[in-house]
Amino acid sequence: MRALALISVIIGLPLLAACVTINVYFPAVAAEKAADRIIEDVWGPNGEGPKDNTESTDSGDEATQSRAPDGTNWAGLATARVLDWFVPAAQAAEPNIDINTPAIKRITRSMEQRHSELKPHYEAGAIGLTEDALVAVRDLNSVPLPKRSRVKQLVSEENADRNALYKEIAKANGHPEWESDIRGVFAERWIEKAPSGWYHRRGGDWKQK
Amino acid sequence: MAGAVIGITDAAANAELGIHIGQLSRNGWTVEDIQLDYSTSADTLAVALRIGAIQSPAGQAITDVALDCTELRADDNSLRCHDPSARVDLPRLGPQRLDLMLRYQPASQTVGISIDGLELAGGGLAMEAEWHQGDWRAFVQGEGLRLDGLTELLGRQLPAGWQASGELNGTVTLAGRDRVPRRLIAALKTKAVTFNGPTGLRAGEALDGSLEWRARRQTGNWVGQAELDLTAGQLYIDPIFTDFGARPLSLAGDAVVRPAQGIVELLGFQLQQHGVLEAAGNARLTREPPYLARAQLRDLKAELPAAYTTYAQPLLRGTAAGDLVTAGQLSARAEIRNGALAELRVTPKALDMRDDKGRFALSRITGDIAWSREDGEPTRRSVIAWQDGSIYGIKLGSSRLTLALNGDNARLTAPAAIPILDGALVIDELAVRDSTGTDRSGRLDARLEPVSMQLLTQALGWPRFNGRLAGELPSLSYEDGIATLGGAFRVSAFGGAIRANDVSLSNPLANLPEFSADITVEGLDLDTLTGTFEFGRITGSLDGRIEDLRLLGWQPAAFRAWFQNPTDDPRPHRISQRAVENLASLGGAGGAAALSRGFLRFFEDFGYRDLGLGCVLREDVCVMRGLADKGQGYYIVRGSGVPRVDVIGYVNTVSWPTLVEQIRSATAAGGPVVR
Repeated sequence: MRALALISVIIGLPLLAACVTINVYFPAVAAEKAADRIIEDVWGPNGEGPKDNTESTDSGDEATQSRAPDGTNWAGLATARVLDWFVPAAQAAEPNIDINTPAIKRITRSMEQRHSELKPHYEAGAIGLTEDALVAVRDLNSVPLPKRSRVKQLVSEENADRNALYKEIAKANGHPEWESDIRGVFAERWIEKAPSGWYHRRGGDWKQK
Repeated sequence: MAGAVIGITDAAANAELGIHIGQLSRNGWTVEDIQLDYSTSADTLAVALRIGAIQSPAGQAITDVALDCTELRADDNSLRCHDPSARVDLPRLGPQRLDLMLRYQPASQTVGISIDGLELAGGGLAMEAEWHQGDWRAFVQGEGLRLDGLTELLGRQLPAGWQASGELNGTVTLAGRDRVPRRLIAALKTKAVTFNGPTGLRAGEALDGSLEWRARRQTGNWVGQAELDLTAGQLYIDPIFTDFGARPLSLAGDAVVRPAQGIVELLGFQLQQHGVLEAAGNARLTREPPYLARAQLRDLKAELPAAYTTYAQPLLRGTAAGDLVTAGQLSARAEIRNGALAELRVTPKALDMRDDKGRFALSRITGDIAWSREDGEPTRRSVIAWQDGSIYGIKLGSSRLTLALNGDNARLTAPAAIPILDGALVIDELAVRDSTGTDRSGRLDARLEPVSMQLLTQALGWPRFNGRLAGELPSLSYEDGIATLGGAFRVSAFGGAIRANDVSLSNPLANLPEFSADITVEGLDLDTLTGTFEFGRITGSLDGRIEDLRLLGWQPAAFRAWFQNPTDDPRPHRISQRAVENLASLGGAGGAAALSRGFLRFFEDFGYRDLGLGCVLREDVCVMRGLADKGQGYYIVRGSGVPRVDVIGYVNTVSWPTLVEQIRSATAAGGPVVR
């Protein structure tokens, strides 16, 4: 995603200079920042993963990220970050992702309230994060029997909120077609920011962070 | 036979005989190192048998067998070995010391054996067996047998991801002739049985139960009676949870077990779960899926709320009926075919239900609801009626609906009227389709017969409106989670008309229902409107539009609104001091306060030429505009006559929550007063 953003920045610059109408690419870097803000709102400081984003060793789609085999693309990341701050034109070519609409705030608040109930189940490995930016039941054996159905209910409510959130962010930014891109960014960021010990699923297999 | 050594000693009254056999083989069995010692004293006979190893054809070995019969007694008709003890090393069970009793009655040719003290699976086992000319009877009593130990002992492995523990106690009596068992009596009790399936979707905890089964063998099947009682512990079979400690369950009836086909038939059973439900019926259980192949449940009586919270609610979560508070009783009959519900007939008896989130309620529900899985025209009409109810706090009257229910479809078979306050919703057509919860669609043709706005606004806790609400709801359809109105919804209110076009509602049951519409208002009487809102009196007419209105969770998220007087307004244009101030404060004009202080305070109201106000709402910010620009501001009210009062707005953008708060305080009874 960052590589994509970088490409759009590089293409965007000369185009801007020439005052040509620019196609709006999906603003991946801005979307990532927006996702991080929402995740922090929902999970709070306790749910945070490592602060240092450059430590992302196992996140995202390898193919689109064109990363080194060890998973780290220091140069690319640094360039993207520098360009992001340094070049005002980049901001123009890359519209911001707005997450301050009442609807998004409302969904975020609802997820935040639910999180206190979900958190122990993430920690116990009863539930985990999925590659499609949702939550799924992994193994309910750590949950007392009377509570199992409740956990399943929480998961389905959480997923309803998450689906609404991705749709709403795309809609609020005037690009409903961005929904799947936004979902992709969130899928990566939820897992990236999850504390160690939590589970995430890829290709049907659960992995522990 | 190989290498038998026989030694005999005879010393006066005492005789001793010893036989040693190196190896015996037959039918794949091998017995090695056999030593039999026999001795007599004055009046007793002692036998001691030692066997080094017994090898079965399967290759398992019983080693170190020692059998001591210190006192073999013969009386008139039996030969009993008194006080024998045996020592044996059994495969999987290890070394065992057993109490053994052997009996032989020569007269009746009866052989008896009893074994006690066999230690296995953390518990003990005692056995008794008797042979009499081909007839036999065996009795086994187990105590404190651990389930995990038993499965290990039987060489059975639980399927991957499964775990089980707990204790088994009980007796099994089996009788037969030759190799064929003929009668069976089993009385088993489980204690603290706990099991877990993969991912925890099936699990039991601390289950106490008992099974009694008496059966005779008839043409290869076991025919008899069985009774199962579950008296303690908890069970979770996704998504249903039940606690047998609080609500014990019993199932009793005739049972036919067909081992060859892997089928259990329960005939004329009685099922009862205390305080939840009871039923009578027949069922066929299979070893392979679908497990519950066939069942008929008659006289099913369900007690609410227990039956709802235990068995219905987990299945209905996420639907309108997923969060109900229920009371009353219902009786039902059901038929299950091929593992799925095929027919259902429900008769509610004075049933009350209300949504826990307060969205709707129905009380004293009666009727006869018949559903069939088969597609096509159902043979029986369903009737559902209620005494009263409410929806979003709006009172509903007594109603009766006749429906056709089958497969995934529900359809109203005759028009119905549901009283709403002093009006009614008349439903001409209603059809709903729900395929396994994912593909829901519906269609409704209805009209609203005049409802008093005063009662309606009171019920909704809104400011009191006057007038009546009436309208057509032409072809309301529901598909992919979106309800759409086919035509325009018209309401007569405040002496004018309100029309809503392109009305749609997404995810009505979700956390964040999304409502959108275009609304047009025509010729509203400002006098009535402002009278209702205590905003300050304004006379005249009002036209307007709210375009692209979008409500999220019933809160405005976006719209483009514009209101103004119609041209050629027949109504006179007057505006009161208070209305001027309130309008001015909305536009952020501080100058209006001058009105209260200057000579203008002597006027109660003023004439005006026209008024107009608009707001474009986006992201909680309202961009305001008026009739025309005036310097830095814009006209909200253009005055006329003498004294001429103009209301000019200076604020272009207002935070929506602030604006709502301002309107609320302006319309409150204790609002600003003109002095």
